[in-house]
Amino acid sequence: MGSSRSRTLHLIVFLFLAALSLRPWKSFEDKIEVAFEPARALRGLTLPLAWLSAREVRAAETALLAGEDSRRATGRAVLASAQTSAAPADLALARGRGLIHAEVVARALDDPNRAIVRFAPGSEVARGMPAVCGDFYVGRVVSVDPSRPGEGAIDLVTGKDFRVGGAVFDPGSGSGGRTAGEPALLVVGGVVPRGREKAELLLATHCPSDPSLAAGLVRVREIDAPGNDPYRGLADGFRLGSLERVQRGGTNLLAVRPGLDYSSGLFQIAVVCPSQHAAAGLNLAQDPFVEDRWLDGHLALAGDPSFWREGRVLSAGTDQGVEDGAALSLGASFLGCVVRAGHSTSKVRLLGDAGLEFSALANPESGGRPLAPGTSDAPFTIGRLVSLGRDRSDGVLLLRWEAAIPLEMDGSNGPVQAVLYTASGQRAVPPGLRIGTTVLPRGRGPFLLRVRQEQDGLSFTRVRVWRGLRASGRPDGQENDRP
Amino acid sequence: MIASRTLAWALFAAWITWFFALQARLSAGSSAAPWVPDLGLVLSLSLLARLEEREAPVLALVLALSRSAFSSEPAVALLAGSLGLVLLALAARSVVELTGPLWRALITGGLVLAFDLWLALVQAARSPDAIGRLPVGAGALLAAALSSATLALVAGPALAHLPGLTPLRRRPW
Repeated sequence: MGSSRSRTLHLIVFLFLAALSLRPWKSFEDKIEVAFEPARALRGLTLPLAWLSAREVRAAETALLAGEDSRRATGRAVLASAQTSAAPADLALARGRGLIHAEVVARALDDPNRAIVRFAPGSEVARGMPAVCGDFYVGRVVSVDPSRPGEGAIDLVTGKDFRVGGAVFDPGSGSGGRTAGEPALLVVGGVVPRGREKAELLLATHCPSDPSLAAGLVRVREIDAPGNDPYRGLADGFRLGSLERVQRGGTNLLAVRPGLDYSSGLFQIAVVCPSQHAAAGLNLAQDPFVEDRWLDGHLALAGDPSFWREGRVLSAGTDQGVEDGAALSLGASFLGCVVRAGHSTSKVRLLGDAGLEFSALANPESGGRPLAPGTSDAPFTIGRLVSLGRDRSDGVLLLRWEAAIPLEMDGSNGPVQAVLYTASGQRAVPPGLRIGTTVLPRGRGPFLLRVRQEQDGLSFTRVRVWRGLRASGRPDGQENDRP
Repeated sequence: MIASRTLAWALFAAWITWFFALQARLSAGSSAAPWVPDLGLVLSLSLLARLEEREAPVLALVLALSRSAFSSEPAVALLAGSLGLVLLALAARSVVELTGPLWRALITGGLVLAFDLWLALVQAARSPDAIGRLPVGAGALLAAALSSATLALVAGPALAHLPGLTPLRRRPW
């Protein structure tokens, strides 16, 4: 850089790289990552540093693996219990209908209002069947992928063009020309504009039969809708939410407040079908503890040169079956995710790395044991959690919880002590891995959760990486392990 | 001549790799992590004060490569950061004498702060919905800059004279 010309050239290169850092261009970035991957061999020079702490690391790993059998059993029990939340609690809704359990594994890349679900292969899931979560209507099956048995797509009621008939059971029935007890009718679908401030998600209403409506419980009513859909009446009676009037953008709108967090809290659902189609028993869609679905890996020296980060380098890559986003665990404990898989090494983010996102479910603690399925304090989905780092003074994880739907549980109004587990919703992260213990506040979020892990895993060298179903020789989606 | 310089760069790569490894190890899980000096950057800046300007891009590349061996940061961000760091250091070198203790400490502290700030900015920019702010506080960044400046003040000349680096030093202390 002897001349001002070369300085200018280097400045241009710097500005180009800086722009790409802030606004990633995937194909170019992939090339740079590939070019940098051989440099990770330099880690071999520093092996003696790892030997210095080998004994204490091994002790921490052994301590975490000590209660492994019971932790796995608890994880499976929590998952099985969480699945019961997909079935309606109101027995009248279940009567005369079949229910096929399904698990949301992802959202469609091009449409966040379309959920990709996995169910037991061989289940008679068909296009048009309604999908529910507990007593709430969620949407309807829009496609079943013949190339991936046990996988389909569901259009959610939040979709812009989605429409479902509803009946309003309001306290003021009898107004608007209706006789007492006769519900008003309307159409529900899409969401009310949320504005720049991203106000809470409410379902939009259309064509109410009674314009004076202001409140009431909205249930699906499609039995008298036009068309030849054989499944259209199956969802009748399921709840959509509660009707209310809201101000959005200076306009007074009639909207439905949903009882579900559609954006980040929808994981366990049931597809409603005629009773003769129903699958028998529970189906643990992804057993997280089947050995051949995990790959043994080795982590390089502990720590990250950027002191606020919790990154590591994994000595395995795509050549060994590691993929981007894959979960990292030791035993039944969730430690983090692969952020970028190279050919023979991968970059990893541990749970304390700010910005890491994952879905979770909570199992309320009662005397240290999970409670029976179907009870008010059975495991429940809490949705997406975002890591904000780690409190360096005591080592606890700091996680942001949106809590779009406040906790509703019997008993006291105080906070809920719970153990957090991974939930479904991400293809490469199996549900049921233990995260840690925390206290869940009640009310509407966002909240900052302080989560205590059994071991933070910062210095671990042995880990397992989730490789899902590819390793077992079955095509993706053909899984029906039972607990 | 070329062979000796190549060997010197290889040794520099080995030294800086060790420094980054040590830095990462000292930071892991420690409540005092912000006070761990950025050993790799201090070594780079100590050498840069003596390096011929035309070889500065090589230093930027070695710096990015060796840091990426332990880091989860995107390689492109490390490359941009190290190149920016070198350009800023060269600009500073044309104005003040980086081998003097006071300027050496001040410039090192400032550049470590800028480098860490850059990486934090990239992290925040890549997950804006998730974090919504810088993932590290200003106090922690200042602590790292201060400890790095102190190390440069105390040990800068010694770092530039590590075994094997002689062929890379052109300007007298």
